[in-house]
Amino acid sequence: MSAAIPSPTQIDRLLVEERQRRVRDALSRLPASMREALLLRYAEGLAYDEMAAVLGTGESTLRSRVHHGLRLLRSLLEKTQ
Amino acid sequence: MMSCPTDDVLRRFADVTLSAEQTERLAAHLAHCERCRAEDARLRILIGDVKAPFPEQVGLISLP
Repeated sequence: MSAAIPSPTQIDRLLVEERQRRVRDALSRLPASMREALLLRYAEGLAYDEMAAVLGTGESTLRSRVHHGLRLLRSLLEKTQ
Repeated sequence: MMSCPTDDVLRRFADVTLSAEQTERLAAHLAHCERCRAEDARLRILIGDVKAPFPEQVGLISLP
């Protein structure tokens, strides 16, 4: 009995799912404050002044958390490649 | 042509939080600098990764 060969579409979907799994894992390893800032900014699409109102934190602090969060996220993803 | 921008300026460009003047100058720089263009592309992919739907992660945040 031979295993079915995945179609290109299935392979693409598996690759996307694997990438998303790695990103989720990397996000979960970030400090909570960085993860929160990244998700509010990019997943929720909030502007920095809206984030500041939600979190009660200054905009410059939030910009810094997003900046350092992206750097750390990239570093974590590179380590798992 | 302006010299290569800092990481922070490139991130703010991808984050669409630079001023119109800074955006224009950086866009002109990117047109001629392959290294910065590649870095900008990497940043945008990373931001796109965070934008992708992650139900269990987004659920960690409860907005008022």
